[in-house]
Formats: sequence, structure tokens, C-alpha cells
Amino acid sequence: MIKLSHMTKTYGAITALDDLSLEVRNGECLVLIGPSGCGKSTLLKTINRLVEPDAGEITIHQKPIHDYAPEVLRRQIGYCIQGVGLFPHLSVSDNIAVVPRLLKWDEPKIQARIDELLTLTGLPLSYKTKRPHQLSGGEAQRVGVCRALAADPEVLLMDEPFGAVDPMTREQIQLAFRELQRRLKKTVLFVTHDLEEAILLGDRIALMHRGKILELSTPESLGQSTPNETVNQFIGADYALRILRRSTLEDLKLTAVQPQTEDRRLESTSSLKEALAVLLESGNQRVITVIDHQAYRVDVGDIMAHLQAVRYG
Amino acid sequence: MTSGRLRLRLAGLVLLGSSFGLPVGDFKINRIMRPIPVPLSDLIGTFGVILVVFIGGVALWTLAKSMSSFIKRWIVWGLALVPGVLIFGLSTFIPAGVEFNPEAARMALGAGTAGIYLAVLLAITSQPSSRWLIVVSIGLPIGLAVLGQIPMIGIVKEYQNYKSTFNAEFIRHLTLALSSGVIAILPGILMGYWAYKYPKSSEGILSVVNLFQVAPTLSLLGLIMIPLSLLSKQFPFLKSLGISGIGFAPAFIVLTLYALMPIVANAYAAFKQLDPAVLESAKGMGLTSRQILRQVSLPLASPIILSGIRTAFTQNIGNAILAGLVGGGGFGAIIFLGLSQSASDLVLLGTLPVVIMALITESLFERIQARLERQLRGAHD
Repeated sequence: MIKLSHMTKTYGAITALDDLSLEVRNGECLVLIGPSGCGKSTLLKTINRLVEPDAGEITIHQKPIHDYAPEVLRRQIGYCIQGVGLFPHLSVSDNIAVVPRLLKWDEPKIQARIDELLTLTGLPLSYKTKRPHQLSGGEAQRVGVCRALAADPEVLLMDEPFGAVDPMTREQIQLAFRELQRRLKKTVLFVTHDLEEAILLGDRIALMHRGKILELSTPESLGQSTPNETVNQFIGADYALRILRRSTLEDLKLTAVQPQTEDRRLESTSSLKEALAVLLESGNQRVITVIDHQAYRVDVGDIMAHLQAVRYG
Repeated sequence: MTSGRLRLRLAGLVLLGSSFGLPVGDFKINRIMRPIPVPLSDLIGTFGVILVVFIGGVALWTLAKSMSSFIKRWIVWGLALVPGVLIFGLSTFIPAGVEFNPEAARMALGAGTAGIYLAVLLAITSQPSSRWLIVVSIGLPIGLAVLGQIPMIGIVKEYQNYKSTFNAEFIRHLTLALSSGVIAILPGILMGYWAYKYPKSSEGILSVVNLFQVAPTLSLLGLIMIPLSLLSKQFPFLKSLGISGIGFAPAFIVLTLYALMPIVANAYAAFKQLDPAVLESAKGMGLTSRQILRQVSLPLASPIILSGIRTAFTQNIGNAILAGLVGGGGFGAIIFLGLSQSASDLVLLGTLPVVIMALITESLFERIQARLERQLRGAHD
């Protein structure tokens, strides 16, 4: 658990952190979102001491981070930034091996770890000898994630890690990261300015504005607790549509039916947003999905009921 | 390809002009007598000149039009031999009706020879991979001189007269240029790094270093001589070490100061162009500042730093000529001696080796740089 208490940081007249407190629970991905200049990157960097706050205290697993020398602290925390920052003169495997080597792991263990991570992120092992300039943007980003995970840190700090990737690749890598996080259960603080990304990846979302946290809640109930003009403006009127992306047809309570040839079929892993789009253009045609060899009818009412349950229920 | 065509056209023009208009040699009965110009037609007759220009024209035309690279290869190798053959011909030429003593008489290379050599260089460099051809075009005349095949050529005569001086100054020149360059490397890199690390100091450092560069070399030499001679007067032991207002010491100091500028400026630029994301992730992963410098910044900055060192050395080879003015020796001593005696061959004897040394230095560094870059980018692409 990362606990930040009463963090304050000013740059001249600008207040980046304004008496801010926050807890990141073990094994959750907390997404910190806000307009640029709201102080979210500053907050993230106080945790691995790239930025020293004017006031406030941070503990990781109840231990104050100032008990460690900055370098020792940083080696225990995975760090992944926009533009990746892979070392261009080192091969992919040497890039991943940086922190394990700093921690003086023995070489066979490092090599095994590199193979494990490449497989985990879906990169072929033949990439080990490649140089960063030979990778595509998405591949480089995956290697960046590998590098951050190399020494198996419990805590992961990610500063707009997928911000520089083109939209198509970004969605792929976001989904891949979500899969990874579901398996590894790291304690992640993830900074972004992309609401879609926050909704897709966050277990909880902290909305930050002018050095303060305006709201902290699950993506489903963001904007629900207290009516706030800034929050509403930020999440937008179509927010309900956006959170449909978080659920799939498998999450719905559906009615079983007999499939017919003229039915329109949907994959059971389709997001509710996709399902809704198909329903909107289906007209009179019946839309079904098959889960465990049983066909179910997909209806707008089911989606609405689900949305009501997760958002307002 | 267009620049290749342009070179060939230019080569044709130069060849035409130098073959017909300019003397290829200047025959002198002795060192100070008025030269007798020797046009190419004296060597091979008017018909010969027309033939040479015709053959040369056809050769250049063939190079310009895309034909088999096999024929082109033969043509450029042939062209590379031309200067050597011409100089050999000049050495054996005896003008008609002139009384002379073969001990004192000499044949200075004329503007025509320079022109023909220029035409050959233009033609050679219009083709890819011309390095070895250039080496041959320079090497053949030198080889002939070493083998004693062209004893009448003025520059060879001067070499025979000044052999021991030449060899001593050669060593001197090389020592001066290289040692002052080597001495400048470490402080240069450190100052560049300092300027990058502490932005407030960068303007100061760069402008001081720039000052050395802007100040004319000669006046810098003069400025250095004053404190040095005062020092050696105050502390006689310095004089016994060879440090005084004239000689090796002031030349060495000035050359070192000169070598600093390109090294500092390049090191500064090299560190400055490092990707901030790379540096931030290095720090964020827990590398100490020393580890970042050793494992990340220095390797990534090294190609640009090296190109600064390359500039410093090439420039030092040339600048070391000025040491001759303050008794520091080197080829400058020969050049200025030649100037004072109006002995153009002696001047040439001093300048040619400097040009060749600069070219060799340049190509050596080019190779090291290419290797370094390959290493940084990875073996395969």
C-alpha cells in the first residue's frame, strides 16, 4: 500500500500539490487523471523521489520512503514513462536487465526473467538482440513495461506510458496491460490525461485538479458522489456510454433463446459499447450471443439494467 | 549523380586549360635564377598535347555516360597514374639550348601540373569509393621520389638538401600537433560536461573557449610569449625545463587552447542532445548519477564528442605550422624558411606533408567513428 499524506509542492507561484492525501491499495491500479498542469505527474514523481515535496509524507507498506537512499528506493519501484526512454545503445535484453543487474541478480536468473517477461508481454524471444530503433512504437512500449517489471517490483509507477503510441496500437497495448495486471496484481499508480484509458485500466480513478483530488471512486460511479461542476465538465455528458466499455456480454443477465439462422451474432467477449452499437443498427433483427454452448438474446433493456446496477445501484 | 557530372565537366575544362595554356613545369638553372616555363607541348609536342586532350576528353566522357563499371574502373585507375607519369616526364626533360649544371638545376612543378592533377582528382572523386585512387595518385610521385627516379624535380632537390632537417621537423610537427591535441581531450570533455551539467556556467565556459578560437592564432602566440618569458626570467629552473617565451612551450600551449574549443563545444552539444526520456528513466530506475554518466550519457554522447576530437586534431595539424614562427619547429620552420628565400619548392616541401598528414588524420578518425557508430547502433540492422 502506498500512502501519501498532506503532500504540498509549489513551483514559484504555481501550486502543483495542495495538501493532497491519497492511498493506493495493494494490488489495485489507481489511475490519476486530470488536465495537463494539474500536478498528477508531480505527485507520481514524489513517490520515487524524482521530485521532493515541500511538505508531506509517503509510506510504502507502512515504511517511510525516506528510510531508503533514493537509488535503493527506485530500484524497488517499477517506472515506466511516456516515450519509453529505452537505452538506444543497448539491446532489448540488456535494457530489461538494467535493474536486475543493479540489484546484482545472478546472470542465469536474469536471462530466465527476460524470457519470462517477453513471453508475458507477447513479444517473441528473437527480439532479445534487437536494438530499440528496430522496434515499432508499440513494441518499444511493451519492452518498456518489461523493463519496469524486470525486478518484480510490487509497486509500479506509470507516467502516461502509452501516450506516444498511435491510437490503434494504444488500444492493443492497453488491453494487453489490463490482462497483465489482472494476472500480476501489482500496486499501480497510473497517470494519464486520457479518460478512455482511465476507464479501461483503472480499478479506481482519482480526478485531480489544481493540486487537489476532486473525486476518488471506481470508474462506474465517477461523478456520482457529490455534484461538482468541474467533475461533470471533465467526464462529459456521454460518460455512461464510455463506462460500457468496461463490461462485456458475459457480465449481463441474459435470457436464453433458441438460435436461428437469421440472428445476428456477437462474440460473448464484446464490450457493452460494441453490443449497443450493433443493437442500434440491427433494426428488427434479433441479436444473440453464445456463452457455453447456450444462445442468449441481447437486448437494450439488459444493457440499461446493467448500467443502472453498476452506476447507480 | 549530378554532382559527379559537374565534377567531370569541370575536370574537362581544367584539363583543356592546363594542357594548352599553362606551363607544366618551370626549369631553373639554379635556385634563384628566373625560371624557364615548360609547356606540355615542349614535353610531348603539339600533336601529343592534342592527342592527350583528346584521350582525356574521351575518358571523362566515358565516365560521365553510364557504361560498364568495369571500363570505368580501368579509366579511373589509369587517371590516378597520370600525375606520377607527368612528373616523371618532367624530371627527365632537358630544355634545348640551355647551359646548366645538373647539380644546381631543377624543375619546379608548374601551374599546369597542378591543373592536371586537379582535373584527375575531380574525375576520380566523381566515382564511388575513390579513397584508394587518391592514395595512388599521391603515392606514385612520392614513391618515385623515394626510389630516386625523379631527382630533377625541385621539391625532391630541396628534400635532398634538407633531409635531416625535414625528418627532425616532421617528428617535431607530429609531436606538437598530437600531444597538444591529446592533452586537450580530457579537460575539453570535462568542460563540456560541466557546461551541460550546470547551465548557469555554460555561457561563461563556452564564451571563454570561444575567445581562444576567435583570437587570431598569431596574436594568441604573441600574448602567450609575454607571460612565459616573464616566468622563465623569474624562475630560471623553468628555462632549464625548456619553458620560455619562444620555442616549444608557447606553441604547445596555444595549440592546446585551440584544440579545446571544438572538443568542449561538441561535448556540450553531445550531452545536450541526449533524450530527456532516456535520462529520466535511467534515474527513475535507480541508477546513480555516476552510473548514468558511465553507462548512458557517455556512450550515447561519444560519437559527437569524437567528431569534436577529430576536428581538433585535423585543425591542430595545420595550426602547428605557426610554431615555426616562434622557434617551435615543425614544418612551419621549413615553410617560413622557404618564404624568406622565395624558394617555392621549399615552401611546397613544407606544405605537402602537412596536407597529407591532415588527410590521413581525417580518414583515420572517420574509420574509428564509423566503427563506434556501428557498435552503438547494433551489429545488424
